[in-house]
Amino acid sequence: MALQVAEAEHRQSPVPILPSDPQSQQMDESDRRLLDEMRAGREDAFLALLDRHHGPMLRFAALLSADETAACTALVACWLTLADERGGPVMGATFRGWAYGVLLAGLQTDLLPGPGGERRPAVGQDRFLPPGDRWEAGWADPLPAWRSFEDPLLSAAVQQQVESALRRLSSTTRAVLVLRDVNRVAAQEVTDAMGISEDDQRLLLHDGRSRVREALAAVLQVTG
Amino acid sequence: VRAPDISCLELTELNTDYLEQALPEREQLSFELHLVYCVDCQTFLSQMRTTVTALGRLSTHPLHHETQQALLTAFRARRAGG
Repeated sequence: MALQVAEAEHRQSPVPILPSDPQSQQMDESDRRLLDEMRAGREDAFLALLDRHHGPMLRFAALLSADETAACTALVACWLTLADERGGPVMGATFRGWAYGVLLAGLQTDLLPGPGGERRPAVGQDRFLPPGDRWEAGWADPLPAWRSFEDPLLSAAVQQQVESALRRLSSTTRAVLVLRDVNRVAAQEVTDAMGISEDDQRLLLHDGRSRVREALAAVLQVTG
Repeated sequence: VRAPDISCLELTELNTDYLEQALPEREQLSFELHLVYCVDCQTFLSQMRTTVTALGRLSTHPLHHETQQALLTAFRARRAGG
């Protein structure tokens, strides 16, 4: 029963799914107000939007680009487009969803319209008992526990491992994973920015998280 | 409503839908019932949550003063029609 209570408490995804939660809504209203003020020529509004979004947007661009220069160039062009008086978030979209869409277009990354290819299992099939076994599709061996990565030394290794794993993902999967789990962008904003369906967004997220989990196991798994 | 049991393999494939609150009620119940007795799947789900946490802790790219000033200059030039 204790577990069920714990699950109920943790069921909520650690990253936002809808941009309609009060905090996200408040931020979007503030973003839109700043957007209007920026377009009216207010430099303080431009600086406030930069302060709020430039860091995460640069991290996204850097992880999607071959080099930091290309990322910076695309981001500068993106900010000037956002400051332009034409265009803006369409009905139902947030400032952030629109802004990432503009940035993605500028990055000229080859994104697939969906997950593409064959769906990879979250965990290697050899980790499960084979068909015909009494406990078919159950874990073949106990799953090794992970160490905590709060240790500063381990923390650096974890960060490096996560970045390497991200770089190995397809650009489409990487874009979804960085937006959702690194930059904490809501699912609906990601579908708006990337022009993909909710189902495809979730499939890409699933594949990306599964691959990063595999990579993390290499540094966090308790052995022996 | 009786929720059918799911296998460990199925749970690993449903974990994202579960965390994203996208599972139909019946499947969500099956998922949570499986977790009640399967320690390895509890461990697996905990690892998925740790993965999401680790991704959220990637270092940020700060906005450097020089970048801010360059962008502000470009913004002013654009406003001036330059």
